[in-house]
Parts: sequence; C-alpha cells; structure tokens
Amino acid sequence: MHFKTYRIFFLLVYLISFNLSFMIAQHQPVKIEDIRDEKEFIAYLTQKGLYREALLAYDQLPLNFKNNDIQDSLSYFAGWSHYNLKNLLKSAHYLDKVNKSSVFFPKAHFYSSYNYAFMGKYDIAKNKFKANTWDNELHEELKYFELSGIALLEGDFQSYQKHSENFTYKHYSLKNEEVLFDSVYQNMINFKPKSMVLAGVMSSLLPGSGKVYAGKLGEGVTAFLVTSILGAITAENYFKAGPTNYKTIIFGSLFTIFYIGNIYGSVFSIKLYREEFRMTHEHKILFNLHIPLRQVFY
Amino acid sequence: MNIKFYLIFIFLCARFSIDGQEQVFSKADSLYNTGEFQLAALEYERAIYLANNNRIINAARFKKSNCYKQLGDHGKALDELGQISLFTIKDSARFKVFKEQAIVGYLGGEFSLSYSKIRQIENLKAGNDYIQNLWPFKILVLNEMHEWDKSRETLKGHAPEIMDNENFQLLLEMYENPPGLKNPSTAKWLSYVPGLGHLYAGYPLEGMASFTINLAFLSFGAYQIYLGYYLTGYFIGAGGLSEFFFGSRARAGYLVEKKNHQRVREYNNRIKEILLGNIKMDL
Repeated sequence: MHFKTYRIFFLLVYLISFNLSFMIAQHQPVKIEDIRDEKEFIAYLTQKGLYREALLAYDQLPLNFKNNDIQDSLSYFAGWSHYNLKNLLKSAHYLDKVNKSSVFFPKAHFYSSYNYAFMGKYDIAKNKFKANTWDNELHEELKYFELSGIALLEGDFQSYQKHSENFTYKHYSLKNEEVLFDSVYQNMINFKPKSMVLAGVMSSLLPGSGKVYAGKLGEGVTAFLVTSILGAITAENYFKAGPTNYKTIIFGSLFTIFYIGNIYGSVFSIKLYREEFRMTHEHKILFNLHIPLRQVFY
Repeated sequence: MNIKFYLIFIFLCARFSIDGQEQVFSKADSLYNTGEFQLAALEYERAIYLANNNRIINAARFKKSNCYKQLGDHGKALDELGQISLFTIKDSARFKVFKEQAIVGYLGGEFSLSYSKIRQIENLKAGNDYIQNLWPFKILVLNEMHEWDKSRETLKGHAPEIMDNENFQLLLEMYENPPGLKNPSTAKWLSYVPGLGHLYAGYPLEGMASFTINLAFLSFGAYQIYLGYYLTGYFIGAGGLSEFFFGSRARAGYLVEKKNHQRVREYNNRIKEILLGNIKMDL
C-alpha cells in the first residue's frame, strides 16, 4: 500500500475511536457506587445546613437507578432539606417516600404528618398517625401526643380526652408538653366567647363600653372620648347657632359617623377577640407539637 | 516525514491510554466559566468535602465565594471568605483573601469591613505592588463612609502622577466643598415656627403648606372661642393644631435626613464619575 493510504487509514482509526469512546461515555449505565457517594455528599450537605445545595445535588441525580436503601435515604435528605427551607408540602411529599424498612422512617413519618397538621390538613395528618403502631413505647406515646394536639386544633375535645389517656408524663421529651396541652385544653373548654349583640347594645348606650367588654380598654376609652367630644361640639353648635347652621350639620354628621362606627367596631371587636383566642392557642399548640419531635429525633 | 507522521499519530492516540490527571476543580471551573454559578458552588463544596488538605479547602472556599459574588449573594460570599484559614496560608494568598473581602464588602454595602480589609492589605508586604492600584478603590470606600478628609488625602497622595491636572483640581475643589449636611434636631427646633424646619430641610412648598394648615387651625380655634363656641374652639382648633404642629416637627426632621442622603449620594456619584472616567481601576 502507498504511504498515503496508510495515513488515511490511521486518521480514520483515530476519528472512529474518538467518537466511539465519547458515545460509550455518554451511555454508561449508572454505577450504584457513584450514587452511594453522592448520597454521602448530600448527607454531608444537610448536616452542614446547606439545604439549598443538598437539593441542587439531589436534582442532579440520574433517575435510572434502583436501590431502595439509597432511594429512602435520598428522599429523607430531600424532605428534611425542604422542611428546613419551610417548604412543608414538598417536604411531606419526599418524606412520604421513605419506606418502613428505612432507618429514617420514624422521623420521616412523624415530620411528614406534622407538616400536614401545620398546613391545616388535619384529616391527612390524623390518618397518617393512626396508620402506624409502634413497638417503641416513646414513639407510640408521641403518636398519641400528636393526635391529641390535632384534636385541640380541630376543637374536638372528646378526641383529646381519648388520646390524652395515653399520656404517661414520664418521658423527658414529652412530659412538659403533655402538661401544657392539658392546660390549653382547660383554657379552651372554659373559654367564654362573649356576645356580639351585648357589645353593640352597650356601645349604643355608652360609646366605647362595648370595646371595654371585648377586652380592649384603650380602644374603648378612645371611642368614648372621640364620640363624646363630637357630640358635645354638635350640641354646642345646635343650641347656639341652630340646627341648620353649617357647623351643626358638619359636626352632627361627624358625630353620627363616629357613633355608628363605635357600635360596629364594638361588635367587630368580639369577633376579633374570639379570633385572637383561637390564633394564640393554635400557635401554641403547633409550636408544642414540634418540640417533642426535635427532642425525640435530634 | 514518515516518522514525523507516526509520532503525531502516537501523540494523538496517547490521550486514550492515559486516564488524564484528575483536576480537582476542573468540573467546577468549567461550570463557573459557563455561568452556572449555583452548580459551580455546589462542586466547589464537593471539593471541600473530598479534600484532604487545607490548601485545596482554602482554594475551594475562595472560588465558591466568587460564585456567590456572581449570584449577588454578598453575605454568603463573605461567609465563605471568612472561613478561609488565614494562619495556614502565605502572605501572598492572605493578600488575595483580603482584597476579595474588601471588594465583596463594598458590593454588599459593608464599607467599614471593606476599609478594614484595605488597611490590612496596606500592612502586608505582599500587597506592596497592589497598593499602587488600590487607592481609587480606597477613595470610593472612604466616600461611602463619609470620610471625605481621608479620601482627599488619599487622592493627593496618588492622583497627581496619574490623573490629568484639570480633573485632579476639580476633585480637590469638590473635596474642599463637601455636601452640606444639615442637622435633623435643628429642623425640629426651627419647626416651632411651623414650616421653618421644612424650609431649612430644602422643601419650601411643603413648609408653606404646613404653615398654612397650622395657621388655619389656630385661627379657627381662636375665632370660635371669640364667638363663644368654647368646645368647638378648644377641641377642633387646639386639638387639630397640636396634631399638625407636632406632626410637622417630626416630618421636618425626617425631611432633613432624606435630603442629606440625597446630597451624599449625588456628591459621591459625581466623584466616582470623575475618578473612574479618568483612571483605570485595576482590581
């Protein structure tokens, strides 16, 4: 063969081998060892508190691998990262993927259920808690503690009494919160919602008294002073200048507006009073549902 | 000729027989170069995770801070730089860290931090050559800190050799006339005459409106009392007057602060424009 032919031949060999190695590299099957290493790296990131980076690493993972242990761990890390970034729905979605056989299952299960409770999805949270029975005494009591908290959130006092029968008050990570829930329960059943009609009638007779009845002393005094002053000014102008004088009309109109506003405001204050009571206790319950989880699954 | 061809061929094929030296940062650097800063930061963190010596960890932290700087997250960039172990690195590397901290501090609005790093660079022997290029940046930082005297001294110390005389004199003149900052307390005291504090703050129209409103309430109240409408005069006249009077005092103080901020911004921007229009700031 001519030397020229040899050169062409060797160049062709070079080009083909280059392309082949490139194509092979692209279509290598995913190695489990690589995924395991990646899992360790994601664990490191979550331990360091680098949750966004952990989720970014998770998103880079290939989808075509089958290993339940690694899948469970990765789902847990993704769920835990979303939880710390306050993405509760996504957190619950990933934590729900953790299987019962995984070492992360108890923590994933409880936090996922807590996420649903926090988002107001009480039925889902309750069903998840009720779906499992734990051999571990502490976990079993924690389950009833969480269910009792959800019952308080729903205002279902009968269910609270039933679940709280499982309180032992002996586990360090639970006893303070159990005592607190009992106290919250007492507050809630003894709560007197106060009457909107009574507040309105009181304010119509004595401006501001309805707001004082609703527990708003400062607002009640202000309403009384403003309405009384405008009433006094209107009366002064009425008696000195007559009913058709512009000042009587202006101040009379202002007095009417403030007087009616004071009555409406008093009625609305009762609604606010009830709402504030509910919100305060809801925050307290949700916060104290969370503390034992941190203590049990540190 | 034939030998030359075969040698070239062997060289080209040799790449397949060598695994290639694993560059620690090769993937991260290529992501950085293509603008994928978030992913690059992740890969630099991976390098930290896999590293077995401080040199690589420090280099990775430095590069990761660059990623955050590009993403505009100056707080995180400073955090990463702050974690670099300065005791284990040479002066030349320490200088690079200080320089980067000064730049990121400036970008993030932390001018005191930026200035303290500039001072540390000036104390480093390794920063000697760089200090010649540092002075325009130092001026910008000092201006943001309202330290115009120090800024002027820095300008006098370095600019004459580099800047043209006209712009140098223009800057000196500007430093002789720093922005006249007014005192919010003075505005509040002046507002005992309604509207005078606003005038002092540089808002004459608002001052006139404040004066008019206060005068209207005072006149109304006085006239009503004169006519025998005591309740109307007292509650509407005096009540309205007290609300607007004290309100306009507080407003005058706020307007002075607002005006001061505006003046400082305009002044600093003008200096920046002249400075950067005449010299190349090589950081």
